[in-house]
Amino acid sequence: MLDVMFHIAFLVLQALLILVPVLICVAYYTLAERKVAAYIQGRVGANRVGWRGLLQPFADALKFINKEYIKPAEANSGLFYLAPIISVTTAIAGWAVIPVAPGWVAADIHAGILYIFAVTSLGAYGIIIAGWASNSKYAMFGAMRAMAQIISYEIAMGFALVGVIMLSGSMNFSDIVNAQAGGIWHWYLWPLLPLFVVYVICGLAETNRLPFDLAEGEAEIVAGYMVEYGSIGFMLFFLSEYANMLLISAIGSLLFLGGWQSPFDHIVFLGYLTQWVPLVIWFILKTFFMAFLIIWVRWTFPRYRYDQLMMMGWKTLIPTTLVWLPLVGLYIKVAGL
Amino acid sequence: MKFFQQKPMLTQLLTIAVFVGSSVLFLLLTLTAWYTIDLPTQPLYPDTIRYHALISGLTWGLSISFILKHLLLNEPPHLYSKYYFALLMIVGLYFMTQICLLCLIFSTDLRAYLQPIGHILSDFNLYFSILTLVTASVIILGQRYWPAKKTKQNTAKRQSKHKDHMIRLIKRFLIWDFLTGLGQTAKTMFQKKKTIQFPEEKIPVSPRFRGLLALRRYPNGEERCIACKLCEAVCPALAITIEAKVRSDGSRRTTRFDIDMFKCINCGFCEESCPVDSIVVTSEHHYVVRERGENILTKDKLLAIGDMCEPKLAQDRANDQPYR
Repeated sequence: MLDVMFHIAFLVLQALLILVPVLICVAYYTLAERKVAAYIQGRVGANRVGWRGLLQPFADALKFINKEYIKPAEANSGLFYLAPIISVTTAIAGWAVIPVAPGWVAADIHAGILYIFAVTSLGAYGIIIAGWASNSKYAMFGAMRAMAQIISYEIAMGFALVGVIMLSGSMNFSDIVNAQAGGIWHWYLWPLLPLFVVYVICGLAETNRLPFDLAEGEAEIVAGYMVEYGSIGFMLFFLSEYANMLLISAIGSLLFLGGWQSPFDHIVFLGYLTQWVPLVIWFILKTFFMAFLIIWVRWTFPRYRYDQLMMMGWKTLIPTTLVWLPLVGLYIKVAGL
Repeated sequence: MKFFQQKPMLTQLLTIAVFVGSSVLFLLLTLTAWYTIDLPTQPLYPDTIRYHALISGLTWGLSISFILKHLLLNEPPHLYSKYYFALLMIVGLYFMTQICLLCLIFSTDLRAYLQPIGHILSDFNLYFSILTLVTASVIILGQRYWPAKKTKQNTAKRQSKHKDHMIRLIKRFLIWDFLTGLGQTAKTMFQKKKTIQFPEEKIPVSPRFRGLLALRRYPNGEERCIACKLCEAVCPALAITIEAKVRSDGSRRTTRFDIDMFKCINCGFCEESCPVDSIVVTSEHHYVVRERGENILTKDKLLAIGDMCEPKLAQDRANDQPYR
């Protein structure tokens, strides 16, 4: 009995060890978004709560919690309450297989990439259930758009990741990162540059971010699938969106930017100079860079039109990956990896 | 740019210096690269190596000085002909192999990568270097001896056919427009911020700003208003209500002077019409109505506002005096 209790306690502790940093990161990611947006627009941004606005995310969270949870009379109540929970659960569940440093991973499973794929696809259920349960035309439209978008971009994203799997010969994140050991030249970014670009674009589309945020489209459908949500429901959707973005950045940094590997390994002078840096720092830096890129893109480009979005997904991204994968295969054959 | 355009001699000298310098640099680098490739299968012929190094050096020197000159003079080289693109491709291929070759020197990792294809690389580099030298000379001479045809129709046609199409294709493939967009926002990120932190900082207000209304007093404390009702008459929004009576000392004074702030359109006609300079518009504009009824400014309130704003009013008038 004590054994089982101990085991459960250990599991809970492990979950908390992932949950708490991720949630804190998400909280500050929202602040970062506001700050970067402000800076790009020549403003200062949130700076009233706490030193330079550092407590702003908590003020926002408190505000959301204080608000009344409103359910439309015609909404399907069970599904209406379920949708944000599905969204946020799947967004955070993905973090279980993300290794942040050698051995620092909750579940070092062999098919990590497959797991991530499964979990992020499940996240789409949160969106479509929210759209259906709200019983509102805007929410329905938003959910339908989001689904169409996620389905078409998942194909290209899958192909982009196939390139990585081919090169590393593994679906385990730790193995993939270890295969990229030895400096910036060994990152999969270089042989798979087109696939990396495809991955970033698909990542933006998967998380419904600008320039692909048709699911939210303030101008036409107000806020899309979350139009009927307020209070904690809205907060959970918000949280899941940002957790998903961070997850996409983390996966990008693991698969293409060498995860926790230092970029200066085996480089004559810089290699010795940066040896003391803990490995987890590199991972964090790369993930934050990717996360910053997502924000940066959002505040730079206008939204795509719906047909342009579909055209880009099916006629540009998928062909690009389809051309590049045989080339990667040839490269593997010739180089004898 | 302008500086160099005015001094052609200096530009010429600079270009030549860069040409010589980069030629020698890349000559040495290529030599080093050759000696770094330790290929047991391929014996090194000293003559071949030296010629190759010389040609590479010349090519790099020509290219760098060519680009530098056009950058300094701010006149882009004309590349209207589609043949130029074929030539440029050769140049591109050459530089790719050359960069790979140079990587052999600097990175021990890449050496391991490139070693298996080292001999193909070096052979290609050798042949391409000759081709590229010829190509680069053709392009550079072409700038002088075969200038672009400048007839409007001709260029327009050619541009739409070849240049624009090619460039658009290349740009689309490199997602060039997206990158320039990101660069633009990155630049603005470091600009000076335009935010004014409101309660601490305020926007400068003109001395003629027409804000809150006020009633003034004479220095001895006597109110100025003589209840002539000119302001009431002139007010286009009918915001002013005045009632008057004779005071105990026999002078005509107002018993009621109400201004409805919701009706007031801040036109300032009342101030202009006032014969005794009693009703004035102040530059105060940060005020708030919290409850129903507070929007009516009574005589007492107006006088109080006048007392409060008197120093500011004097200052504003002094500032505005030169322009009246």
